Amino acid sequence: MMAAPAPLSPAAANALTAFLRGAERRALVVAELQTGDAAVAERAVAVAMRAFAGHATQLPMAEWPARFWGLLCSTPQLLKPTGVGQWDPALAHLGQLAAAERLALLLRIGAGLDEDAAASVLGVAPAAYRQALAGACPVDAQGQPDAAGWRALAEQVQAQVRDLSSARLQQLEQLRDAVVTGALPAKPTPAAVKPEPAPQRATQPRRKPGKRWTLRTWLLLCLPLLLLALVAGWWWRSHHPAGTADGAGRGLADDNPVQVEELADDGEATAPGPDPHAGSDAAMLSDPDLGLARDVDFLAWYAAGGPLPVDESEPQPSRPEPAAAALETVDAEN
Amino acid sequence: MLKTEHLLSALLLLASAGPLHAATPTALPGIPSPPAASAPASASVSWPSLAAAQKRDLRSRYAAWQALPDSEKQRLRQAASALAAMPPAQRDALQARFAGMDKLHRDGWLLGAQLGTFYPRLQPLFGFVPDAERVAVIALLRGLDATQLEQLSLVSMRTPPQERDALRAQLLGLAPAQRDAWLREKVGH
Repeated sequence: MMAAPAPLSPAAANALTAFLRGAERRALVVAELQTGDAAVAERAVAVAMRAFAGHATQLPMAEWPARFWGLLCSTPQLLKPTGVGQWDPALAHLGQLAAAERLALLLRIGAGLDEDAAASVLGVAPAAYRQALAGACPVDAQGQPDAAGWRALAEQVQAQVRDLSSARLQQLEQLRDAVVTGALPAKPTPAAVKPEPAPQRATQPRRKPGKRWTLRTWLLLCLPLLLLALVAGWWWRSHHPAGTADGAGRGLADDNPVQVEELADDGEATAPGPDPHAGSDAAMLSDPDLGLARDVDFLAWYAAGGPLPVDESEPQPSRPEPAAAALETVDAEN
Repeated sequence: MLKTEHLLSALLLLASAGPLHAATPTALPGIPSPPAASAPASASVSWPSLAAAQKRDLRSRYAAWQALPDSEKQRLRQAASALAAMPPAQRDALQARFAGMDKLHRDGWLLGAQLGTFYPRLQPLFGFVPDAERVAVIALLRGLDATQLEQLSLVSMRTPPQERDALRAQLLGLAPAQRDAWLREKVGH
């Protein structure tokens, strides 16, 4: 049985809503392109969002992205897709990849995680993650990495994020609201997304008892099991920390054990001798503006009014408290 | 295998979408930040204890800050003051919203408030540039006013992928005084 989540404070609910709003589109597309099945993907996202909401407020917000994506990638649907997926012709390359390599690629070009973050999410060493990416990279006729192919693939994935249908956006919004308020949604998951517009379904006076009831029953049966699997996974991870370095039992290593080769580092970490950055580091560390520099991207975003990217915006994107309104009138040009 | 991996690393550096390279103040969108910890190094953590990736991340951020025009720095100082005066919960919610954004979009803000605003639309044209072009492109973008950046955003969005390199080269080849007319011509008015 699932325990009822504790109600969130308004501030926590706002933070959670903001975070999920920023991540949910990418999560859905990553899940869909990993499984090749929209309905399966929606179930995985629903499970991950619920599990995340149950623990997010106990974590520092800086850890939210890693935890959220980690949960999504831990779902059986993404970890070991079982069905025969379908991909658009422009994304056919994805269907040819092993599941582990596909997930590695999607975390980079779909979720937008950097390599270390993605490796952490998958529980593998960065070198192993890069090797999985290497396996997922399109190659040209000579078998060399195909930069144009990679770029086209990345742009196509971004287009999928940007062009989610309004019906699916509405499903995500309902799911997010349900997760944040701790209430069960009207539908257990958005798994019943079909091409027809959502408003039609909402106002439909009667349902088709056979199919929908079957789906709902199935979901109600499976969701607790999936959550149980996630909890078991967390427990296992927390009691076997040493296993994470080589990815044993998790993520990439499950389907496709990756040979880890030591790569030459960029010379910074362990090279003996004088640190070539010592002088500039000292100047940096003594600069009173270092605190501002540390948050330069966040400050710039806030100064600009905190816009959400088009592919992550609601139809009426909210903006932060416009202390920045005055700032927006500042002409940044000389 | 190792060779393939090195080749791929180079390719990823080229094709990824982060805007600034570590300790390269004049770097440009298109070259990813080095692998960084999920959270920037905290001020309370001593420098020697930071991991190499955290050090690179902080150097990269510092370089990005130093590369900003004075007017941008002033704008960010005001933003920092406004945030400091904000209730912690509200500030935390904003940080969570920002942290949840795609890295591609987050990294665009390393270029400052003005270019960050346009970055998602400029990214098709300038998100993937050869290393040798970065300095010139960043100078070009900083030299455009908001209207011109709006026009260039339109051009960026309209240009098919196979024509982007040529168009960028054409733009870089223009004298600064020619850019305004070029942009107006490209957007059709």
